[in-house]
Parts: sequence; structure tokens; C-alpha cells
Amino acid sequence: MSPVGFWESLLAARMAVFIGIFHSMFAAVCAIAIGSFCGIVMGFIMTFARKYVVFPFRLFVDVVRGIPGLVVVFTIYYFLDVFLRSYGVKLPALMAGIIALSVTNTAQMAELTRGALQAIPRGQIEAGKAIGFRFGQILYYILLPQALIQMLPPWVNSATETVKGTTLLMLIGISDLLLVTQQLIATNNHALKYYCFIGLIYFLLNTVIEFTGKAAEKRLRFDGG
Amino acid sequence: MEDSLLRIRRLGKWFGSLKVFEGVDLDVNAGEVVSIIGASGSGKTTLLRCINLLETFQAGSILLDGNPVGYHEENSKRKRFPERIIARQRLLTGMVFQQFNLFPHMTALGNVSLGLRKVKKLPRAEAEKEASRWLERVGLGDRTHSRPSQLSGGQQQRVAIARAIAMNPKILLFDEPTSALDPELVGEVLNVIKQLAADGATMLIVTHEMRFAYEVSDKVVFMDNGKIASMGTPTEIFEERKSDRLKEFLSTFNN
Ligand SMILES: Nc1ncnc2c1ncn2[C@@H]1O[C@H](COP(=O)(O)OP(=O)(O)OP(=O)(O)O)[C@@H](O)[C@H]1O
Ligand SMILES: [Mg+2]
Repeated sequence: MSPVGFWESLLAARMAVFIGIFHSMFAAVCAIAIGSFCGIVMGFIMTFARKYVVFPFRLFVDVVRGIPGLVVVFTIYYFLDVFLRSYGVKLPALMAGIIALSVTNTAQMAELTRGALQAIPRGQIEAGKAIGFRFGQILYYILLPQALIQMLPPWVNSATETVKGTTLLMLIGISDLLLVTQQLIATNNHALKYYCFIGLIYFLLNTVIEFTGKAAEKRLRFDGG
Repeated sequence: MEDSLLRIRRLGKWFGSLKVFEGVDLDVNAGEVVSIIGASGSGKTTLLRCINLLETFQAGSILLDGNPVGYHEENSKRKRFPERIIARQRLLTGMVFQQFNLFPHMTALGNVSLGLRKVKKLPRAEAEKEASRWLERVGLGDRTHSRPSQLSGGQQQRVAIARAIAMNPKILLFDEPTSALDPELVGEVLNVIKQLAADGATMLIVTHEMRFAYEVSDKVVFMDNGKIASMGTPTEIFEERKSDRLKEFLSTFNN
């Protein structure tokens, strides 16, 4: 029995916990940003490009979405590791983790974007052409804003999944929040309290995301409600 | 004889092996209102979409203001203009769609001013002033900040008309502008179109509103069987009814 109380032990380990939170948040934010950007671009390509251009992207999206996140993380980590090592570069685990989460997120966002674009009636494109718009202007002023509004709720969903997905990163040796916590637990007997504590932190992070999403939705909504 | 604003010669359109029409000749002079009538599937919408360059066409030519649009001859080969030029040529025509096709994420004012700002490159304030002027003209001066979802069908179609005419096209094309409307909202839209006609706008109107076509048109075109089957003044078309097909078609409207 350790004589140290939960709060005392947490206080003592605060730096490690902060670093854990930072790693998790940093990875999540990067992955969401990169994944959203690449995914939206990919979604547009998959909707409007020629069939043979679409094919490799389609394959990428289906493959990534079809395998567990953990497998994606491991595959990318080991692939990048072996590949870069042959050039004498050592990839930091955090970087590999962010790339892996971004890949998963990109596939998710690409599919979301494609779905949202497909749901926009063809008449919107024609109305844009009729006022003399070129294709790029139609994309930017007409399709993109409508797609983004459509995508917001599922986007929030996928962002929260990404935050939860950061827990996979401990498996490639990144001291994310979960790994840090587990190391702490090994030195005392407050396991339940610690798990409740980090559960609360993940929950708070995702609540912030959902709240932001709801607020954005309210501002952007065009159904008149 | 004066040069017509819109001159269509030997126009032919196929969807794969399906012929929609062939050998279509049509002239619309400045200030004229021409109505197109005909049975469902006779190619009325397709003809308008060809003029607006939303469809390709396989034969013939369309001249707007004396210049060919859509295709040109190069080394005696027929070539489609590049999209950049097509986009500019589309500004010669304004299109009002059956389903309005307003941009749902923008207000009425945004819908009408978007093209003025981004295509005509007017500064925002000027574009919005111009847009409100047109919204007033169609009787919606008090709804400039409404989203399409907050407007009735008739109001939406009037915004769409303002959006088309604000770009100052040479000719306005209407594809059954009242077909998607509840009967009680048809009148307000037709009145706006009549007003534009009275103000001298050049218009080509596909419609199933025979009384309206009779009243507003200088010329009526009857499409049937992949061609223009009859063309004449409203009196010639609606009262004299020279061909059997025309008689048969008009008898389905008890007017
Ligand atoms: N995109 C398309 N692909 C293939 N066939 C088409 C396409 N659009 C129209 N058609 C065909 O072309 C013919 C003419 O259609 P169009 O819509 O121009 O008729 P319409 O006179 O406008 O009819 P309505 O009064 O019902 O609106 C029809 O046989 C239609 O099925
Ligand atoms: Mg039609």
C-alpha cells in the first residue's frame, strides 16, 4: 500500500501529465487540420475528376477506412521507419503518429466531403454557370460553403474520434496522456481514480470540440430555423 | 432586314443515339418576346440549355449579337470554345430555371449580387445597391435579407429572375418558370415577366401557360417531333391552329 494520496501523486507528476496532455492534443489538432484539408481536396477530386484519376483515391479511402486504426498506425509507423532509416533519417515517433492519424482522418474526411458534394443538386452548378462563373468559382462560392455546412455534424464526430484515436499512439512509444497515466499507476494504487481523471480530460476535450461545432452550425445553418 | 439578336441555324442535338431535334432555325430580335410550346419531351428545355451552353450540340450554329457561341470553325473543323470563353459567352444570356436553383446559403441579396461582384467585379457596396434595385423591381425590396428557405416559391422565382437580369444579359431564357409553383403563386411571377416584357426585355420563354403565352408573345414556336413544327404570331398559332398536331396539342389545354 502506497501511503501517497491520489492528489499528491498527481501533483508530483504534473509535468509528465501536462506533457501527456500536450502530446495527445498536439497530435489530435495536427491530424484534424491535416486530415480536414487533404480530405476536402480529395473529396472534390473524387467527385469531379475523371474516373481514372478518381480510382487511386477511391482505393486509398476504401482501404484506410476498411482496416482498424491501430493497424494503420502500426503499418505507417513501421513503413516510414524502415523507409526513412534506409536514408539515414530517424523519424520521431510523434511525427509518425501524427502522419498515421492524419491518414485515417483524411480518408474519413474525403468520404464525408464526397457525400456532401454529391448531395448538392446539379442545378446549383448550372445556376453558377448561368451567372458566368468558371468552375473554380463554382467550387469556391457555391459548392464548398454548402458542403461545409452539410459536413459540420459528421466532421465534429470524426474530430472526436481522432481525439480518442490518439490513445493508439502510446503503442508506438509516444508518451501520450494514456501512457503517462499508466506509468503513474504502476507506481501507486490509484488506478481507478487515474482512469476517471483522464477519462474526464478526454471528455472535456471532446465537449469543447462538440460545443464549437454546434456554435458554428448555428451560425452557418441556412434552413431558416 | 435587321440583324437578329439570337440567330439559330440548322441546330441539331443528340443524346448519344437519341435525337432531340434537328434543323432548328429560330430568330429572336431585340425587344421581342418569343414563347416555345410543345409536348413533354419535345426538346424545349434542351433547346434553351443549348442556347445557354449548358448542353453541347452536334450540328448547326447559334449566333448571339452576330457572333457564334459554343463552337467555331478552325481549319474547317468544328471546335468547342474553351471553357473560359464559354463562361464569358454565357453572360450574353440569362437563365431562369424551372426549379429556381437559388443558392440556399445566401440571402436574396447575396444571390443577386454574387455574379455582379465576382464576375462583373463590382465593389461590394455597388453590387448590393444594384442587386437591391433589381429586387425592388421584382417586388421584393423588403425581403433582401431573407434566405431562399424563408421565401415562398413565387418569391424565390422572382429572386431568380432578378439574379438573371442583374447580369444585364442580351436575352433572358425562361424554362417553365411557373411549373414548380402552387397555382396561387403563378400570377405574381407571370406579372413580373410581363412587366419586363413591357420594359423592352428580349425573352425566350418555354411555358405551358397558354393564356400567358398568347398575351405576352410576339411570336410563338411549337416544337414537335424533333423540330420546330409551327411558328407564328399568337393569333396564327392559338386561333388559326393550322396543323393537326398543333390542334391536338392545344386541345389538351382547354383554353
Ligand atoms: N441529359 C439527358 N440525357 C439523355 N436524354 C436526355 C437528357 N436530357 C433530356 N433528354 C431527352 O431529350 C428529350 C427532350 O427533353 P427535354 O427536357 O428538352 O424536353 P421538354 O420539351 O423540356 O419536356 P418537358 O415539357 O417535360 O419539360 C427527351 O426525350 C428527354 O428524355
Ligand atoms: Mg422541360
